[in-house]
Amino acid sequence: MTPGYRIAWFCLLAWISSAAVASAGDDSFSFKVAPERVQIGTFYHGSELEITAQIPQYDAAVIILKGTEDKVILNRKGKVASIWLNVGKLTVYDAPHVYILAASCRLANIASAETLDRLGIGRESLRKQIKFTSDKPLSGNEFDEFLDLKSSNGVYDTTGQIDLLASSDGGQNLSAQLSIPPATPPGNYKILFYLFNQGELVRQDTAQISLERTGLVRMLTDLSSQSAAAYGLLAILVALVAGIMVGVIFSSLSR
Amino acid sequence: MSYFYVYLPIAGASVHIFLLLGLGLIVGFLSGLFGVGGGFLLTPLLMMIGIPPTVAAASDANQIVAASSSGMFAHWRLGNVDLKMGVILVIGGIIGGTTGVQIIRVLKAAGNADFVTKVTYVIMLSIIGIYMLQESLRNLKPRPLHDSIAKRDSKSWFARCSESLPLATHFEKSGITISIFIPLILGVLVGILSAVMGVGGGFIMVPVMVYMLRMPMHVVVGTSLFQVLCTCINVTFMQAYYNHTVDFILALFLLVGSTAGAQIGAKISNRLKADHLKVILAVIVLLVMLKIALELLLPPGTLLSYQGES
Repeated sequence: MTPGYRIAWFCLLAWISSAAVASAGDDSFSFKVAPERVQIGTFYHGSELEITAQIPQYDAAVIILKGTEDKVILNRKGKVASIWLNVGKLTVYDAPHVYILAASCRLANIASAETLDRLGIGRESLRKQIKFTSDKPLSGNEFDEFLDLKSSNGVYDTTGQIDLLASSDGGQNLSAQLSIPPATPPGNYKILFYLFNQGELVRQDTAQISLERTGLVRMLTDLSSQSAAAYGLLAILVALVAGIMVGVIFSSLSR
Repeated sequence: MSYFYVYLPIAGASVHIFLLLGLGLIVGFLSGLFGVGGGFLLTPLLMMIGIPPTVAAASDANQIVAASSSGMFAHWRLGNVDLKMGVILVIGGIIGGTTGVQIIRVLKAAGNADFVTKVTYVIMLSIIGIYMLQESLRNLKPRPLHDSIAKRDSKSWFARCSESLPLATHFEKSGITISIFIPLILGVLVGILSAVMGVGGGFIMVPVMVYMLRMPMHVVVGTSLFQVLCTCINVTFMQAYYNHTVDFILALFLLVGSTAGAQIGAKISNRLKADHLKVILAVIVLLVMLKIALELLLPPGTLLSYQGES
């Protein structure tokens, strides 16, 4: 086969596959996330993401809010002479720094373990994905310890619920709330959306949201990291002025 | 968004506003009631509500700048500050504070800064708590007069030791003559503790000035506040510059609560007996020490921690 024929065959196959996706898209759904930009301001205490969609009559849905998969170095505690202190470092690879999952029913009832692992859905898939190295021998409990740490401030959570309600047009209305805990660091996050029917993945989609520091919070964190000396002087100056002012107010009140 | 929570940008935590104001109020109340700075109680309390220990200690030092400034200026106007003594203590405090910040920096990189902070707390709070409890219980018992006279007249090991040091200087306002190395070394020690524990050091400096340096009480309070203020200004700047651990918002909320609490505490303290107050404070100090000691001895909730946290 000449290179010209190969290109022609490739174009034909590409057209057929795109037509197939378009046909699947006939069961189209619109997937809305609000808000798309979460602002971390002075009174921030976490946020609720509202996710809604109109979908065909499928069995199940899964939504995951996922952070980037970075290398993280953690302190590891151990007991030395009856005291708990940091005894080594644990390096964690391929772990999303945030993983918040909501599902319409138990994951085991949605798809096979192989399918869930392939798609990176659920706690057991994370167990297979995340790798650890340490300056000390590994105990085998690293994943559970890591999950404890991440769950303690809510950045790993697999207990969210998705509500699927039949709509008048024969489809379903999907609604879910994902809680973003206050400890979630600023950055860009993916929202992965999966629809299943009879154990098979039938649709998937992705959206992106961002968490951004704003106002005073942004000003102070920028100043603290970029102009540490100015930040230190500002902190001292404000404390001095505030202290003297409070003293003056109280002494005038007591008079 | 919730208007009852405030996001602490450096601590990276969202805390209920009334919890911060309440903590400040309680510590300020105790500080007004017992005449201590309160930093040694506030830092562990902040750790208990989930503020990373290094941020708690650095922000507490920032809060003490505010809390001690109004008192220091009031004493300054009354002429209660021994400037010569204060300056030597401050030089020592700056050397110690800067050293302490570097110690924290090295320990933070090694992953054990918070362990050292906690251990220092357990040691210092045990010493102070037990000493205060013994002292106040002894004072509550009636004592024969000749015992106290004999005790006052005898020279302590500290007095004998300080007389042997060179560069003896007369401190006019305090009415004492001692080697400048004594306040310098004390300043260094308090400076290190101030950086590691996030305290002003008044709870160490006041008894040292009264019992060891034999300075008059009215000069002790003003000079101690001068030293605490200058040491905490240095520690705040160093922590902000090197460790990026000063949470300015946290310090402000604590300050509002603590200044109000201090005024209430000072008013109530006039109606209570001093030794009864000391017993209560000693029990509080020992309870806080016990809580920190248990954190070191009992298995932690999670065996892993982020770098820079406990």
